[in-house]
Amino acid sequence: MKHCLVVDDSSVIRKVARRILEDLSFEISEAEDGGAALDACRKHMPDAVLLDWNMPVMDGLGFVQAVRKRPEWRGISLMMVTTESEQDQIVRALAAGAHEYLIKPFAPEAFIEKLDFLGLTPARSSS
Amino acid sequence: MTTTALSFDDVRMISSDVWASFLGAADDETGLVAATEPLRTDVEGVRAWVSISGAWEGQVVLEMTASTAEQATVAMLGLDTVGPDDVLDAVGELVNMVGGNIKSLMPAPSKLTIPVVVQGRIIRALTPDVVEICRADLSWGGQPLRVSVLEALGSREQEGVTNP
Repeated sequence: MKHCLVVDDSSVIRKVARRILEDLSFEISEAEDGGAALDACRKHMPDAVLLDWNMPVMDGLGFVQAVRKRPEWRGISLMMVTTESEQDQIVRALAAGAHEYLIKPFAPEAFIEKLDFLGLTPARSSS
Repeated sequence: MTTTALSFDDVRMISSDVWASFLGAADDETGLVAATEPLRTDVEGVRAWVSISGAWEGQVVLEMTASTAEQATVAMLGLDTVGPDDVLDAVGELVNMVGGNIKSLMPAPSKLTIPVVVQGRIIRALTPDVVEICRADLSWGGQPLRVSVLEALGSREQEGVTNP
């Protein structure tokens, strides 16, 4: 079972993501900001992290940069899920080490498709 | 002269996309439409906003009645009942998504703040340092809601553009 950490200061978004991920049989954990997400990764390294950009304490970009500084976390797939849609920001996130970028609002199908690109969904993993 | 032409349709389409994606309100019957009766100002409601700063400065404000906010939260979470914190969080996320997408139509680069959400009697009060450049009075399932885009007057002066 793949483990996905959902990082968003909105509990509603975390619940929406959880609902989709549960249907895909993920093990799910949650964090409210980038700092809490780093703590969560230290305790239990996830296969993937889905994270917002704008959050208190540590934003999504800061989290991506922090993760990419640690070689032992190289295997974590990182996907930004955010309202930030400027090309410059997308480029910055991908250059910092994010693998995928999904702009809110998103349809559940688009969310799943991005997970599929990362090779995380059961259909892609088993093919 | 204005820095950006933001139309009612721009705001309605962005808001409709958010409602369609997160509330399953995608067709003519369940989606957002232009309101025949705008949101009243003497009702208990929820007001949420995000600020945008940078090449363009202003706020995007979302207002709705307390019951509409609760229904929206129920639809977002797919639950029968929701708590007060869920409602505030849901409306905050709605304005975050609407505001983030409106930001993409404004001069870049700019940054979006974390949403602020307040609950109470809805009032229409603009401070002297902002001007409302777009107001979308919308209806969801017969319930009125409003999306307003406020521009900071200093934003235009800094850009060297004359106010209208």
